[in-house]
Amino acid sequence: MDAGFKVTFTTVPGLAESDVDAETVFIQIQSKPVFAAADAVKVVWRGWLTCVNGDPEYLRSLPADFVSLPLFFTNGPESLTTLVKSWFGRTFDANFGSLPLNSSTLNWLAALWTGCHPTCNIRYLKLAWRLQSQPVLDISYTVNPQDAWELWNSIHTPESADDQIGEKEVQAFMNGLETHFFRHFKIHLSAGRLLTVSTSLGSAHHDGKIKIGNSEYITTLLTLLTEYALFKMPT
Amino acid sequence: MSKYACANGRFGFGVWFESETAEAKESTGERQQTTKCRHEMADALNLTRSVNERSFESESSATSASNRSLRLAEKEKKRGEADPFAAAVSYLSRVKAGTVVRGNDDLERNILVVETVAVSKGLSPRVVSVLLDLALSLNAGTTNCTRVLKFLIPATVVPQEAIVRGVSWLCVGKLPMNAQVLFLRWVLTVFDLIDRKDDLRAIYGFIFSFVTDETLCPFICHLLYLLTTRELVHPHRVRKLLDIQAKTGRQPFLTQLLALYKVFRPDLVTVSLPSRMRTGFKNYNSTWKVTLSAVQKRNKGEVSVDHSLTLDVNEISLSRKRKRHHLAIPSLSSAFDSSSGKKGLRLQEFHSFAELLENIHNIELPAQMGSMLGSTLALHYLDCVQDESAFLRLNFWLGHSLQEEFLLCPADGSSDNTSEAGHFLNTLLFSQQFLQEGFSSTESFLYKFLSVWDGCLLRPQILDLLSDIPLMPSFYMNKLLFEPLKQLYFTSTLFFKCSVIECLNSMLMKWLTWHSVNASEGSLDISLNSTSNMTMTLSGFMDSVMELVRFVGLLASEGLRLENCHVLLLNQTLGFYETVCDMFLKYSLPLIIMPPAGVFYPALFSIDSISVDRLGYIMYRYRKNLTLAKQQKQRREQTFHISRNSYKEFNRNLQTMVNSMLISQWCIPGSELELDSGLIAQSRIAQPWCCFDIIHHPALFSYAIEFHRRCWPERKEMDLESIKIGKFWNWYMEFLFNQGFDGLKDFIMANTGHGSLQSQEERKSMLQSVH
Repeated sequence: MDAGFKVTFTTVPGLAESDVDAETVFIQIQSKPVFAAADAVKVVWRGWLTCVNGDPEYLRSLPADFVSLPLFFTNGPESLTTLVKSWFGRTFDANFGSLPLNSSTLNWLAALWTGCHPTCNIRYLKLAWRLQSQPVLDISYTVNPQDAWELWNSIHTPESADDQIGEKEVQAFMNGLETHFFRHFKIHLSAGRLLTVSTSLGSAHHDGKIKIGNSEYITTLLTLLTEYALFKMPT
Repeated sequence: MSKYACANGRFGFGVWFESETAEAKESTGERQQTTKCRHEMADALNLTRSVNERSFESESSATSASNRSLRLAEKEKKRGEADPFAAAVSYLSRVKAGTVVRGNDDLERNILVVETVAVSKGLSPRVVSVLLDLALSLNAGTTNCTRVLKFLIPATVVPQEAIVRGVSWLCVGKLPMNAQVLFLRWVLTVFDLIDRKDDLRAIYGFIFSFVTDETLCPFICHLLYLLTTRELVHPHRVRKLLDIQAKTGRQPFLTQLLALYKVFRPDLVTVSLPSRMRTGFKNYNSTWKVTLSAVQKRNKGEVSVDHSLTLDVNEISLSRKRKRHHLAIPSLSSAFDSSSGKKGLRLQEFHSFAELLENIHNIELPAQMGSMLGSTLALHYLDCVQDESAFLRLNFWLGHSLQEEFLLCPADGSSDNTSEAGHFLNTLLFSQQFLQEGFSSTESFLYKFLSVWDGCLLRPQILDLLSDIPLMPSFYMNKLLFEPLKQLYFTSTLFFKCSVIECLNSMLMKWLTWHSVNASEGSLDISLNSTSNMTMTLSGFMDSVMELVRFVGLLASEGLRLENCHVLLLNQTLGFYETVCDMFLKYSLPLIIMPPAGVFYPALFSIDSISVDRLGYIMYRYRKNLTLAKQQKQRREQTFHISRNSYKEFNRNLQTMVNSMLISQWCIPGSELELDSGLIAQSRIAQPWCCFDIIHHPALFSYAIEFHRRCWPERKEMDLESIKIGKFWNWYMEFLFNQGFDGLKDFIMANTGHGSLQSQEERKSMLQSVH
């Protein structure tokens, strides 16, 4: 006799950006222990499925009955997550795969978050690298946010800013950080792999774990992730 | 309260009575309760009692039919010799009370036999009953009781009668305490495997009466917890539990059971209980846990998928989970929302093709499209219905599974994983071959996989899947298929090379078959497969086919050179060219492509007679194809054009072959094959010019020698030239053809006219070549 569970599905309007995006679906699992009083419900698991600014061509090419929600966020114990995933798989023929973030996405996120510094203090920019040497070298590189922002600002000048971040700019930003590191420690960071990027706005890990600390730039973040998720579709 | 048993040892259960003694402290009420329970128990045991009566009867008749029993015993002995396990079980079922245990080798041996089977495969329900009775009746002694209980692993289910009988043995009271505890723990461990629980619920009262025993209390509480239903919660039981709690303090198992009672009947249980409770039941299954899970895993893993082509819907239960990835084909189940207006029938309800046909307009697609793979009925339906969304779902699921399995999660080499993946691919192959076309997600997966494949992992399945790839424009084919294959081919073993050529041969045959079925007269636009939107013109199709044949020619010639013209590779190549040579006649595709020199010459000069024969057959078919094409052109029946080059090439090959085999002139100056005469002289072969003709050819001269020996058995010296004279030549030809060289026969007859020929000169003059 396990504790009873109650699952609620709600839609969260407003997150979806374009017309072709489907509405976000928010799922909550609350536990209702059998032996306790009736009002002692507690949320044990939360998750949401979303699609923000998905590729309109692709979304329009799907048949009318199909809803595409390529991103799945969860917060809660792993056992419940797998339960939810398998239920979705059985009922809707859905498939879940992990979304590992490659280094270019992480670079992008670093640049994105640094660019938010004037509006909300990011407090630090921490990057974790791994170099495959003998023994394996793990490097944690923390940059003062003001310095990072100045570097970014010099690359992505406000005049050219139109909320679009170009790949070259991101590359230049990372190059700047790497050359600075090299000057001091004589280690080429480009020989290794970027594993984690974190600021007070959130952190991103290369195996797909993302923590979002601040809801300020969530739309941009979600757009980036949606694009990446749709790109990884098997077909 | 003392209980004594009137145990009928032979049939293994007891009926017990209560005797009032002076020491009885129980209240009358309780005693009345227990008597009532005893009646319930008696009713519940009705079935066992009737069994008892029946066996009594059979016992009495046995003595009169002694002959019959003798024969039966003999039969059983014979069966026993064949099956030691069954013999052991029947021996153990006949062990009586009072059997000597110490030094009893038979008993020991049989228990050992059963034990080995139990821990490896598990025991069937009947054997579980027999052994449980043996153990708990103490017929085999106390040590054996615990021993048997410890290896009593069921394979499938546990019949509830066995448990009921076990509880009655418990009531008998002869079991030592550790055996009782062990038995209760065993019941708890296999609780989920008990087939039905209604009889157990009927003896709830009996089980409850053991709650007073301090050692047994935790396990009894656990068992009651699992069995309780609303109707079984009675005030006297609640009172009893509270009494025990007052005496022994708040024990977690008591609290748990009381909490459960409270859920069912909150009016009866008024004490307050903590709302947060960790489960109060301690580890009971430690003795059996590991063995039980191993046996279950082993048994579940042996579920095999039925691939027979009978039209039955199969419930595929490949449900083994492997870490985070499920490479399993889900079972057919209905969609969640079955309350939509028109109730469709679900696919798993059909058992025959006729039923499917009757209801074809009213079928609901299953919730998971992946479950349709492997079921022939479902595939039939899928093929008919041609629903775009169905294919989209299926391709999505398939693409995702394949991607997760092979591309994103590197194979960790354990044979467990590979066999599961192999099984999955086999089912996929079966479905694709059934539908006679490949899925688009398989195709895209293969392109991505080829560039990272090592050529070893699941080689047969991958190559078979590759041969199902539909045709596409030659540019893409080169980039996506040929480049990676080339890399794999030239760095692999001989057998891989042969497999690749075979795979490409099969691919070509599928393309050609598809073309001959789909292309209608005169139209130029052909759509490729039923689900894709790409169309292709006839010339585009021919381009791709030419690309493929050219590619295989390249692979084959280089491969033969690298492998020293190995006979296996040569044979696979010649098999491919057997398909190619008949493209016009068999598949109505107006393409004639000759094998390259790197294939033709190794075959012509090969030391293996089968290759030479096959080459003859191929040249004969080429001739037929070209002749027909020429005739059609002369009659102006067709619109295609066979280039002059094809004719020239054919003629050249034909000339070479005829020259070397029939006219003994394989090295003509000015021809393609020209060797310096000095070099030939160095080989110091007498009469080098005829060393590749039909008599002296390295592949065939053993037949010439045989013939010579038969014709001239008295001759001491071989003179093979004498075969060429007069009637011997015709006899020799007949002899050769009778050895099964049909290809050579066709070739020679077609090129030198029918019938026998008298001399070499006549043969020369009768030579025809196609211009």
